[in-house]
Amino acid sequence: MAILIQTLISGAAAGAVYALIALGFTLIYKTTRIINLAQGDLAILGAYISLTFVRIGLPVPLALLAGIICTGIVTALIERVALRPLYRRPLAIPILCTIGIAVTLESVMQVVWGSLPLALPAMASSTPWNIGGVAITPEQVVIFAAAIVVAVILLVLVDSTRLGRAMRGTAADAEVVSLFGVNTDLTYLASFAIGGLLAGIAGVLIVPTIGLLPSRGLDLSIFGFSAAVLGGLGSLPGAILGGVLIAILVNLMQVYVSPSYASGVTYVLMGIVLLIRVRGILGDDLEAVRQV
Amino acid sequence: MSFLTPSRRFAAFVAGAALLVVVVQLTLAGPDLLIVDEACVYAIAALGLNVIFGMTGLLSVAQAALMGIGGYTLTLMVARHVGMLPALALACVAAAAVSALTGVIGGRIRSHYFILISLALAEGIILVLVNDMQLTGGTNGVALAASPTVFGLALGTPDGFAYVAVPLVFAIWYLTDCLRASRFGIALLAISTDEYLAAVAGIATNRYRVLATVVGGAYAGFAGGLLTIADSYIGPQNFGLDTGILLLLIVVLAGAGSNAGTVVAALILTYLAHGLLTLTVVGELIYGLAIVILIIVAPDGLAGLGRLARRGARTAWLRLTARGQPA
Amino acid sequence: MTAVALETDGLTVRFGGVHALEGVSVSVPQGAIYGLVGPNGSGKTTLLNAVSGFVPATGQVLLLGHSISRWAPSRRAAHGLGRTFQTPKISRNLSVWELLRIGDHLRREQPWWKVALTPWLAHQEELRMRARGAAVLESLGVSPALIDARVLSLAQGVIKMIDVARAVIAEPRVLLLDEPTAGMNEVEIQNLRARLKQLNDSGLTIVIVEHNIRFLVGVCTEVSVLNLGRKLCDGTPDEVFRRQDVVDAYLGEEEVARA
Repeated sequence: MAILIQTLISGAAAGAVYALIALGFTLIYKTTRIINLAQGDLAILGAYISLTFVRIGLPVPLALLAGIICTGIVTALIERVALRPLYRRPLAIPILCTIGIAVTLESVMQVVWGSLPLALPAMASSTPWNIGGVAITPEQVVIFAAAIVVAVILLVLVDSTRLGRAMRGTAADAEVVSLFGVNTDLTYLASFAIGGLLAGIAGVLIVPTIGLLPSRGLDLSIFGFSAAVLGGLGSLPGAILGGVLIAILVNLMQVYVSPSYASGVTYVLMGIVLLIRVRGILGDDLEAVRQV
Repeated sequence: MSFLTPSRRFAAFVAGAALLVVVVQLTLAGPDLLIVDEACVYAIAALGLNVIFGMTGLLSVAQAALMGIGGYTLTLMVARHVGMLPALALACVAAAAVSALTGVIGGRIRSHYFILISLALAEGIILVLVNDMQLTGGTNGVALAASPTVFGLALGTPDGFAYVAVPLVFAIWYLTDCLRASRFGIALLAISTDEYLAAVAGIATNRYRVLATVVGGAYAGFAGGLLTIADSYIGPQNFGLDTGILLLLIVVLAGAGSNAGTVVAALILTYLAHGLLTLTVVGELIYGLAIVILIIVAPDGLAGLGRLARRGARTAWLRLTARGQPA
Repeated sequence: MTAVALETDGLTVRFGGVHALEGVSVSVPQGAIYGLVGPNGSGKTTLLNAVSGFVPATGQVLLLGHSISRWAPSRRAAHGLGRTFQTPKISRNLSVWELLRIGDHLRREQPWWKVALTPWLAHQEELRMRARGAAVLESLGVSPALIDARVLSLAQGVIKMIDVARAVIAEPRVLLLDEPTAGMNEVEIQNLRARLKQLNDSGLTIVIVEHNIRFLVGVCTEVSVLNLGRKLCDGTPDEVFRRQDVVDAYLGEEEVARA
């Protein structure tokens, strides 16, 4: 029983981070219909940049913040340079481009920081408190709390601000929305920038636990996508729900069934969701679903 | 219409294959021959991906993983004393069946989001290949139990393999061209252009999408089986996302669903991949940048270049022949 | 009693809270040229989309007497329901010939093994189809020399006619046209009118969704007026356009007054 609760707790913390990846990914998809396959790599990039700031002497919280902001800027630059020229083309093209971007990011990280695992200092200590036979680390609490706060802020932003409403509109019909005076280009840029910020936050939160390696980006991406699909592509609350569910399921699989095949849960889940209920748990009328 | 009538086209393919076999055998040896062999295998797999992505518009990174399915099926069958050719056929069937899974699961989704399922499939397959010690030998791989020979040619050697692989590439290239010109190819063209257009033309989109994944998967299985025959060994390293992305890059470089472009691009990229092997990290970087830059700058890839070249040649020819005539 | 080519019965389409179409019943006799008119937002394109099968709808759709309400769009097309698009949907850089081949798909007999094993026979077939494509283009007033041109490089009016060619080459029994005159100049509109009459004479039933009432008055045998998702009335163009409620629905659009 204690093991079960333990599994659920560590799942919740990891899940909160996957939720952040899924949120960034979903926000970009909602606004631009583009599947950003580089989302996980951007998260790891954020962690690497934060590490550099730590190394040059910045106090840890500031370094992490700087890393996050830089990730947002880099993502915005990528959108401006590599993706904007492609918006008039069929949708497969920008998506294909994000594959190229993901590969480029991973190799850049390898070139700049090397392929040996590095360590990013965590925001809180990892010595566990013992509560009724179950171990919870302050770090896990901080991760969970931070992720929830960020998620809530994002949901409020999208729901009530002008920018948020613009984002929802451009996904539905960019031409119509531009008639209402919304600057589509700016909205796209904003969605990517915010997506980058979310990725950066996710990266600095999770990296102390999973280690800092360029290849971690892909793993994070896959968790993020599965979470988004499970929760419902295009649903922000769904992304959060999906993230937590995936993490818990993977952890349960790891502990009770087989550690090496645990991540396979994400693949199988994605397949099942897409086969049975394309819109996932909370998804609404999906752009991704075929009409014909 | 091109000046190549079908009979001339057929003859060109046969002549081209024969010519290339001779050239390859006479001029290349050792490591260069190995590269050509590998390029042939990737060309076949890339042609399959061309059917899935270039012709139908389904973005997929799973083609390499499907090669793996083909290769391991061949290995397992040969270990159970199945003949080389039947084992190769089974490799195609296995890969085609797994590929069809993506087609069926992806039936409700728009083509450009197909990437998600292909990603899940690719990673899932690798997960199994790497972890299942019993069946696949895990990361160590498995040696091929029998030595493959065809008419006395030892296929496990580089030049023996080249004798068979080069004509095979030409044959499959020809077949893929025929596929594209057929009723099936037109349906795929319609689906990749617009689903509503396909619907009002009476094309059952779902069925053709699944068929496209089946056909493309069969190509991958065949290529994977060939690779195993060439190496007399199989391991999971060749079938991961890196190779999947390489194959995608080949189709992107080829441009506009062109088969000829795919074969040429396969040769170029395989060669480059080996040249960059000494600097792997930088090599990866160049892959990534190459995809991004190619898409932005040269969307029609080699096919676009070919078209420009042909137009230029035609204009030059007309100008040349018109010189003797009054203005 | 003339047979009915296309019929809808109580067709209703709702998107969320919006009632795009409410209980619309329309009956198109065989051999007619039938017009569907209405102000913006009246639901005429939705009606066409529901008949094509692109939007889910309740109610019945009957094609040549068969109920096709549960059929997928491609199946409806296979049974003789042709259709053009308001903005032809071409995202790849297709040539006119490729677009016609797509339209011709249902009648095409080019299995891949035939192309592979007997390329000369396949080539003959290809030449025959190409000649047919050129003939269809010519019959619609489009120059056959354009057959290898890239569709997107042509003028809007020409593109619309090529879309009609694409629909016609499949030899449908009923042809749905979605705002065919949009983007055409006066010469092209006259050409369209003449060609539609020709097609109709050879037995094709045509349904036109249009904004340009003057065009419809000259060419339609019968017309239905939609407003706010409901059918207002139907009848011959003369009858319909004299009615006060039709004029009111258009509320000041000079088209009606001029027609």
